Amino acid sequence: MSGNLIDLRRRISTVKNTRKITKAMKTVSAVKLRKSVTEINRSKPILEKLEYLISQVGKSTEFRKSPLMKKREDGETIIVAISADKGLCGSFNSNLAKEAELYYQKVIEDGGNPSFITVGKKVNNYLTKKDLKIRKNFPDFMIKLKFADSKELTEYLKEIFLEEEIKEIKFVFTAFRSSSKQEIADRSLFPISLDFSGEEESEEVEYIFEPEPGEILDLLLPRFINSIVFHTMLESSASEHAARMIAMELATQNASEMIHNLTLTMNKLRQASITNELLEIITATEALTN
Amino acid sequence: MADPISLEVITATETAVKEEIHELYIPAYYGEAGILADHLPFISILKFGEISYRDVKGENHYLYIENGFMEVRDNRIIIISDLTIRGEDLDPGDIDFAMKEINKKINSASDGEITVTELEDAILEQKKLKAKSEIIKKVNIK
Repeated sequence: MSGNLIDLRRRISTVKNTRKITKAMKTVSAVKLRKSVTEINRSKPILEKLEYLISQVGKSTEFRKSPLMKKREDGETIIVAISADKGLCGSFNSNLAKEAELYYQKVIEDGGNPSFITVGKKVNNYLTKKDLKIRKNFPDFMIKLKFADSKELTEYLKEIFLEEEIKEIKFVFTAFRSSSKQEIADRSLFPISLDFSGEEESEEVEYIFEPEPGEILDLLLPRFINSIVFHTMLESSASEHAARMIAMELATQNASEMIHNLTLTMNKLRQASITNELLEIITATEALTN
Repeated sequence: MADPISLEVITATETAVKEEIHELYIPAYYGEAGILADHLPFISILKFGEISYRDVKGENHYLYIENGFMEVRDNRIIIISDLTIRGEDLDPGDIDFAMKEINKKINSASDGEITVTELEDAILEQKKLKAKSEIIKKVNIK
């Protein structure tokens, strides 16, 4: 009986330690989430302004077809899947990996030729096990996301799009809607599609351009792509932190519940052993008096 | 006094400046340009160098920028750049050190130790550093 009690005590203290860890992880994720959300908000203006500038310059010029906008009928479809590098964030990684796989199958069904570029170790592990075609993996970007890292990815994507026969490059990532809502989304990167016809302006503005509009556009487009990639990665990173925060919150709750149940069992056992001892003592005294 | 112009300087990671100003000087594509109120619509590529502007209180501010774009329209200026540093945030020590390194590199060119492209890069870097130290001087005078 007493052996059992000691075991229970040990288990309770183990669960308590685990709860301390999950609680700490939750707090850390909450802080990181807040940071990511600020970064998302900070990187939004440039995206909007670049899109606006491109539309202004694009309208005013005989729109030169940039090679980055070239549409091809066939060729490879590249799916850039963004996951986390670390686990312990609920179903964040597995959901994304499954969705990426579905997307891959869909491209095959449509008669395309898909392949993956993965960002983050987790999605890479999953897809490698499934034996799907992976061109390249970018690990360790998501642990501490920097603009320079996203630039490296952008440069790589741009290079392969320009040099190889690639139909399109698409992102599959977890879009960040709010702290409590994230969903898997796709976003097309190459060929860049911009629609200037949609926004009719009442007054046409005559700009002075330095230098030619075409030249300005050639410089604007790469920056626009950089910003899209960075923004997409930021969103994925924020979603990861939000998912981890919720997972850790649940784990903490579960641990608390477990501690409660274990304590209850332990108290019952202790009471039972006390009652037993009392009974023995009483029986012994009665036997003696008799 | 003319109407104020709203100025926004944006980089990939932040909005560096958001202010009401009266005048702006900027390294535009064909040389330095000044922007006052009611300027014509204007889009230009920016190289590197000094941006200076006078805010509505009449105070002068200096920024260092590298590679960007500017749009002027309806008394509103938007500048998008790869790099923006406020004059106050430039560190003279760092720049002096970098300048010495780059001078050493340029001097070594006569010995044929570096390639032509390396030399060109070094000279460009030297120009950028000069622009930065000019800004520091102006900030100190202010």
